[in-house]
Amino acid sequence: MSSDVIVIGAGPAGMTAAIQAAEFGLSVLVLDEQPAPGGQRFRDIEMAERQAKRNGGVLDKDDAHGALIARRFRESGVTYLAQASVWDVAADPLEVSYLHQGSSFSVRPEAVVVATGALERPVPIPGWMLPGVMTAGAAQLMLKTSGRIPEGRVALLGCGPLLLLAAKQLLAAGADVVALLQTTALVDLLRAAPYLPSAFLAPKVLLQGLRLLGRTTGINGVASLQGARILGKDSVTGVEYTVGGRTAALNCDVVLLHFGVVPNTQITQLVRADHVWNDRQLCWQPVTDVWQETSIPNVMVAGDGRGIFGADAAGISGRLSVLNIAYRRGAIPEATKDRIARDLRGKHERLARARAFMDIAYRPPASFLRPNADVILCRCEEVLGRDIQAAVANGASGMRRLKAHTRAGMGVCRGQMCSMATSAILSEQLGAELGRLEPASVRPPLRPLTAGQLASTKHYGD
Amino acid sequence: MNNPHETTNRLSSMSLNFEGCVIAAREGETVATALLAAKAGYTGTSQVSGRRRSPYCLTGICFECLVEVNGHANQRACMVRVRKNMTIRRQNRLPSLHLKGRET
Repeated sequence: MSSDVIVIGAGPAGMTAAIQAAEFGLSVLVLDEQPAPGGQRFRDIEMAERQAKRNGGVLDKDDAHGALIARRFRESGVTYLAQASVWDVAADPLEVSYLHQGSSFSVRPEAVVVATGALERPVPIPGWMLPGVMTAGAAQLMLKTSGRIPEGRVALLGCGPLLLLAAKQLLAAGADVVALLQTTALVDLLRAAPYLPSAFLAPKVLLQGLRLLGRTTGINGVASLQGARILGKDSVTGVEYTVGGRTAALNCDVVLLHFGVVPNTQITQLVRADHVWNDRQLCWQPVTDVWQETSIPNVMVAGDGRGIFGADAAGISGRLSVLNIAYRRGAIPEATKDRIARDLRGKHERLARARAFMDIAYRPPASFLRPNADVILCRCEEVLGRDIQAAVANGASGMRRLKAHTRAGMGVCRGQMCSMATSAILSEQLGAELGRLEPASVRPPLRPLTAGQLASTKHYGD
Repeated sequence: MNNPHETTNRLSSMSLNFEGCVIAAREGETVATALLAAKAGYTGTSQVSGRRRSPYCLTGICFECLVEVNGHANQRACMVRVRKNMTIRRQNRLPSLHLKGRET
């Protein structure tokens, strides 16, 4: 098996990157962890479409578009491996290692497109490891993939459009939504107001936002949330929260947390590409040039992994990411590359500028980004905020030493759940601003594999 | 409005074995959502404190839902689709490296 390009991820960006590359005549291998294409935004979209047809219904416009991309992806002639987990990407020479059906494989492509999308920002609050706590995105995926709603009284907590959307969808599906606790305050909306005109550049984004605000009015809502604690011993029994300096509590069985989404930079960090702190979206993102190439030659990034702009922008970004690869392989002339790029960049720019309003309006507050001393930050190793403080007092002056002192980030999730919170506390202790400290380093294997699987890795294209 | 998640006409259902009990699952769903719906309570325990844990992100990121599927440990329940007669067991998040008889 030899490939011009390996696309990692089969969401909106990965699918469009693969389709475009195949149209240029490149050989493409797509590796994705899920059983079916679609990513998180269009998870199981093919099944949803079949279901809708059987029921005599139709998908909404956005989902229908996702289903169309999935169909074109299936027909594009690319090699697509579902349930393939990338566990390493090496830069020089470029090599991608992955697990598939229990065995490990390594392939050397000419170029890699990282299209691993976004993850929900993990924000540790007391009790967030209790059974009954999930992310709002998880509840949404549960609804999409199994038609099921969380059992019992549901409280949603956090901020962002997806929190509102999940509340709306759960209500419509018959869930017992007892509260919507938002950190968002009037002052956030005022701060975002200057960005409102740009939102008119992409009226669809604006309308979606306004529609969300309208439909959640029926729920018992709290805004300007300053702090929260999830109650329960073996599972969730309620939430205690602070608003305007006063503490209140409510009973519930399920808490759905959401604080926006951040780029999944695991693979770009792994190859040690340069990253930069995005002050507006409060997250790390890879530095890329106009062809979406990182500082590592022939490693491109497409979609939300480059910064959060949403599914429509990801579809455009996917196509853009393969233009220079195709040009270098001699598949298209420079004039063609430039012509296609000009058109796509204009569209992407409009969507990106419309996004600023939401970024500012739905920023998670600093009080949540720097958790208290008694909160478990690292769920795998159960490291508390105060363990981080103690490590700093004992000389841990960076993320690497913090790991050695506390084991934070050394568990099976490879630091994906805790590194933002641990670095926030570390920054605070060292008197540095967010994003000034080097992020935690990422090392292989990204996914658990056995020594036997490692030893019998099958190498292609040596 | 059409609800694309409409549950009524969904091709169901199959049975799984979870900790010796039979639970129902829907075709196409993952082990994680089947266990959540079956009120499994928890799907594993922390290797540090032994405290109960259950699926959190359903996207393969958090690794909270590690279970044993048909004798294979360390499977993310949210990444495995249900199949007829699967046998699923809770696990300590990372199986203990503790060897039996080591204290003696």
